[in-house]
Amino acid sequence: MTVLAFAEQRNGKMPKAAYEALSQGRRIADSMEDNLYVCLVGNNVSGLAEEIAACGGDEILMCDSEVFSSYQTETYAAVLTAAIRELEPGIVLMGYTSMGKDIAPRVAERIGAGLISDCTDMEVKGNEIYFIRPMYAGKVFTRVRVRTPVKICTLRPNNFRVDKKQGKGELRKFTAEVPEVRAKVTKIKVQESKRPELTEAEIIVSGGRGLGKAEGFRIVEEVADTLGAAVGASRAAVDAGWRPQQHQVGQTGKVVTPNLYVACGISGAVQHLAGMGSSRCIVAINKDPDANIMKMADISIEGDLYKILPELENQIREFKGRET
Amino acid sequence: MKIVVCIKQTFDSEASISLNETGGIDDQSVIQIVNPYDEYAVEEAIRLKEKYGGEVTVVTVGKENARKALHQCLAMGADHTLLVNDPQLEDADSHTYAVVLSTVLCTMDYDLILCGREAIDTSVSQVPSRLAERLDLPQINMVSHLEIVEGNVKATRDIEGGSEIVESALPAVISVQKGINEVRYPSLRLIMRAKKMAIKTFSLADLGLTMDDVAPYLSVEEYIFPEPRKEGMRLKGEVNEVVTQLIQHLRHEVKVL
Amino acid sequence: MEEQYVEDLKKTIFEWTSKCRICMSCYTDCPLQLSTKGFLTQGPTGITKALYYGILWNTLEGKDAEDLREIVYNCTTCGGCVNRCKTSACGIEVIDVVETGRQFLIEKMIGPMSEQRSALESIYKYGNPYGEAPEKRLDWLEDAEVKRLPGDKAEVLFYVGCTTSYEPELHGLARSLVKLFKFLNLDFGVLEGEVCCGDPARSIGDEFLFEEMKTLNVEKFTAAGVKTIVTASPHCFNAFNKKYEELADKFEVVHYTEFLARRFEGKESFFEKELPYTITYHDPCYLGKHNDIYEAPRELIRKIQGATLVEMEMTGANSLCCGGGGGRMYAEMKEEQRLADMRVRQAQAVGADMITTACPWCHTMIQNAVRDLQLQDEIQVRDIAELLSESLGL
Ligand SMILES: Cc1cc2nc3c(=O)[nH]c(=O)nc-3n(C[C@H](O)[C@H](O)[C@H](O)COP(=O)(O)OP(=O)(O)OC[C@H]3O[C@@H](n4cnc5c(N)ncnc54)[C@H](O)[C@@H]3O)c2cc1C
Repeated sequence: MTVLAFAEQRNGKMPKAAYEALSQGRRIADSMEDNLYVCLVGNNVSGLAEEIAACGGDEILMCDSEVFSSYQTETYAAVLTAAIRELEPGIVLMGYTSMGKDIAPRVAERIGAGLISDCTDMEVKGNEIYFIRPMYAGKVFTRVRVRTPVKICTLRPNNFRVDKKQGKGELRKFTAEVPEVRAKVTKIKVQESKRPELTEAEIIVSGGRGLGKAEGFRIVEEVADTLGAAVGASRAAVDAGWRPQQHQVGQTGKVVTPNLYVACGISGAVQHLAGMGSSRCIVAINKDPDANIMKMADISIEGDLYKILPELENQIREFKGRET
Repeated sequence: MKIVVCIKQTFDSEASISLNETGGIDDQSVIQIVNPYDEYAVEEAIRLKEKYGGEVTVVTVGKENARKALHQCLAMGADHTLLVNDPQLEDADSHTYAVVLSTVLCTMDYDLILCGREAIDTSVSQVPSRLAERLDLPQINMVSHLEIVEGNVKATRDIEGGSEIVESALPAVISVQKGINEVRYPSLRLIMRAKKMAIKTFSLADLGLTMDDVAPYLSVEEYIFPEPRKEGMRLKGEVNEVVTQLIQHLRHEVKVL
Repeated sequence: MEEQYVEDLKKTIFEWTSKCRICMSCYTDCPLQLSTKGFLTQGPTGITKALYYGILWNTLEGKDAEDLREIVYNCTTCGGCVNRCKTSACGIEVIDVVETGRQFLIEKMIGPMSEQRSALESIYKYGNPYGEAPEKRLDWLEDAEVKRLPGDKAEVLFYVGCTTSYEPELHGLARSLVKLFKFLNLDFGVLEGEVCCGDPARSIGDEFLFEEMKTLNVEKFTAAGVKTIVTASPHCFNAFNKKYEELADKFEVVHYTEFLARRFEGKESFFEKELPYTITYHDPCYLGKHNDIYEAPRELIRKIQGATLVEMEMTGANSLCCGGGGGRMYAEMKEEQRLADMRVRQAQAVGADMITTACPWCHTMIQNAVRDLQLQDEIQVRDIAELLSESLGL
């Protein structure tokens, strides 16, 4: 079974989810004793070949032209479709990112393929692959099989290991006919942030209604920054206007799987748990010992967050200082 | 402007999930609602109608019970509703929905198709793009702001760490995201009144579709219920002591710091 | 042509507001005047006039509509202005105007405030405004002996109410009432499948949802076959007594303070355990201003050995609203608008170390204020029922 991974990039940088797709692709290719093909689309992106090879890419189909300088659904979909038609892979992998969510179903319908979105795990059994994915906000998981010859799968970020394993890294120029773009990206606004992207972060410090006011997030940010963490928020905090929608964790926000999730002044409503319930370690800071979050956290501290967070920041600084 | 909104009835987000005798998800004992993202789509459609005139048609594929969801949309201000209900749609996946919806839409006149970013039950985020592909229309997903400028749409689409501005001619398929608007509240009186309004209902045969046309691409082999998270270590007391304990634990036991 | 229903709403609003002579006496009684910048629209006349002109000039779109919503939903329906207008002016039922105005705004899909939406939806779906599971409603009840109606039969129904049932901080109130009823050897029970009285739906402006809850409750009460209904909340009490015409003559509805004051008359000697607190009593608006019940709660407090009752600056008919009524309970309050914070300061000023009240909403609002002001170590918030049961050693 041929394996194809889509190496998502923006401005010549691949998000963590792209590395995860490559690595997972490598592992499947290994078990199938086949090559890992990679589809790379962009403008001046040949520099990525080395990194792709380091994650196991054998043959990189590179579509490199000014036309692809920014992501447009229609042009990128055309290239990915052409690559799939040429290689006839058994499986196509990419990240469940804003790009992956946009392009994967479009391509899947075009080639008549089943698509597993937001996959959290996979089992390869002989020539069959079983996909695990959450439903009902993680209250249940399903084990799914894809009936079509080409199976497309988008991977939930932070759920698949990134391994360094050298592939052949052969770069092959690839071209495809692209249509006139109808829905055109005319502007991209990305706020430069020193903090990691929420879905990719290893550590997230989140705040909720318990912070009481917008300024309350300052202390959350300070703790996050000492840890190199991302900052998240509950819906209550977002709806109160204390944080932008992009920071909301949960059913109507982002789904995250960090190694450490620190919930400050968040009660742990099911809709919030839907977004962070599979974090590896959950720490809850809450004054209410009966709050739902306290009953499912790995470590919970009962008390006032305005007393605990400054102390936490101090102590982290201290041991970080000692380490360096 | 003629706007079609595709909605889905989903379980209430509080619902607990269990299996029925046939091993499927039990949908009998749960409260069902209009998928929250689709509510934003309906709201946006009504706002556009209020601004530019036209009409809003809400389409859903669902069971008899899905009428309730359509009543809510009517109460909010939708003009027409349409339900595709067929026992053969039991195993529907997003490809199936796209086939059915595109068939319905082929018979209609529209300038804009609105959907929610995802349904909170299966959360696959596929139907809008699959539908756009089948209708050969441009798509804009995850939209948190929408404007009509000289007959074109100008949309803000959320991406990691920021947003993109996407412009497109109409018709187009747009999936919306939380933040685009605040959904109005239809009072119980308006819902009761909506119950007396007509809902067009179609079966697959009415649409000229066969089982083969709507055969799903995916098959669910098993439902797995995750182990509930257990209560962990509880810390309480002197602030500096509990924080020290926390850090020790995170460093040496969990090894995340 | 607009529907008759909407026309009627407009008519009600017009009729009442045209009677107003704009004497502004009511502003002295409006808590909003204390908690806001004191604009004209942050008081009774301004609110009703804003509605009047909004409808008259049909300025019901965009920013105008948002402003009007903000103005009309600001009112806590405490009732101060109504009483003032009755005694000093022309007797306008300001709260009726405000509630009718909210119905109108809901019809126009301008109301309610966004946070109130989920409360209404939840009442419709689950029978309580908090999105809680109906089957968990009686989870607070530890006592397995308590009768459950309508399966069991009893003379008195203890109608617990949504907030008291679901808010852990109020479970003490619910359990204390059970203990007190048992102490009195009362033949009482709670309802299996109790649902919201509908008061929040009414005050936020979904009259039909209120009617729906009313129908459900009347059915349940009738099936329970009781004579008397005792409520924990003044809001449920007020709704049953004044807005449920169907209950009149069939059931006696009493708030627990009056009920207990009657039953404990002459039983002072039982309250043996000393509770040496300086207690102040916060009059809930729906007990005091709306129903003239000022004495019963105070009588009860006076029975407690060792306790000293002190009155705050604003008390009785002049009591300061906690800010939770009129559907405000579900809406976020801006920092400067927290009436409950002011109330706690007033309690502090008279040297109270305990605030008692007899309303689950007042309790929650004041408890939160004490926490916000970080006064937990100085001031406790307890319900009268809790103090009584403690003083009886129950
Ligand atoms: C369809 C739908 C979708 C939803 N989607 C989401 C979603 O994506 N994400 C989401 O988060 N929610 C979502 N919600 C909302 C969810 O139900 C909750 O309302 C929300 O998560 C509550 O946020 P919170 O925990 O910050 O606030 P609360 O529930 O009010 O909790 C605040 C907590 O802070 C604690 N606290 C207060 N003060 C302090 C202090 N000084 N120190 C320590 N602790 C303190 C309190 O004890 C309490 O536990 C959704 C709801 C619906 C109906």
